[in-house]
Amino acid sequence: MAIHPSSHDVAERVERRWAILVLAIVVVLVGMVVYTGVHWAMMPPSRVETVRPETLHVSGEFIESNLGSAPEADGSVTVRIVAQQYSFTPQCLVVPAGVPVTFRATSSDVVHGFLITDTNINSMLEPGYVSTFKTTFDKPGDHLMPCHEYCGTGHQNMWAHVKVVDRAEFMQMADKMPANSRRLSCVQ
Amino acid sequence: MTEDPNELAKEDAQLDEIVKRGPSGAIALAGISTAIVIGIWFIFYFAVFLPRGVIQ
Repeated sequence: MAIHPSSHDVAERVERRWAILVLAIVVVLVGMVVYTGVHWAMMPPSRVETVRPETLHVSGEFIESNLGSAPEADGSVTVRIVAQQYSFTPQCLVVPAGVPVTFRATSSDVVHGFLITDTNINSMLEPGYVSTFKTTFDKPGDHLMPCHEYCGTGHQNMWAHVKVVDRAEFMQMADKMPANSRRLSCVQ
Repeated sequence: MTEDPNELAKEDAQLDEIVKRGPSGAIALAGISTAIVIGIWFIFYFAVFLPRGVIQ
């Protein structure tokens, strides 16, 4: 390099260093996204599961008596929800803490949002498709579940509650279920 | 505005002297603002996103 670099050389050197820095930043950010997806299996869902939205309420997995929290044989819990203009059914979900919970949800009319506050659950419910998410709630607490995808004039009032309770309390609720209902919820 | 070639050459030389000293001000501005943005991204990633748990 010349002892007295020309202005052109200086500009070129600075530009090259800045370009390398920016490229490095992009590589690090993309690398973090890839690591999150591959190592923790945490990425936008890629499974496609279809369902008929017109007959949700009459047959299949999302009939009204099957909506809510269902304890499974392996100790996990499956929560089934239907979203429609402008409510979630059931409007109050109860889940145990420290146990794997699988949410299965769909919409019966338009696209709705699916978000549970203070968690990373954040997605959409499309008519004709079933959205599935699996997670574990660390501790008991109350969360809101607003619809965050504009779905019409009642969109701002569309939200549900999620109550995370102690596992013991949840099992007690499961044992005390009245004979005519087979799914748990905190709807009053 | 007419300038004779000597004036132009002198101005070019003065410009060259300034450019030769490098764009340290621009680097400082761009560098600090980029650092702030990337820093906030990392703070959110580690302090908000990861603590909220893994969804599969």
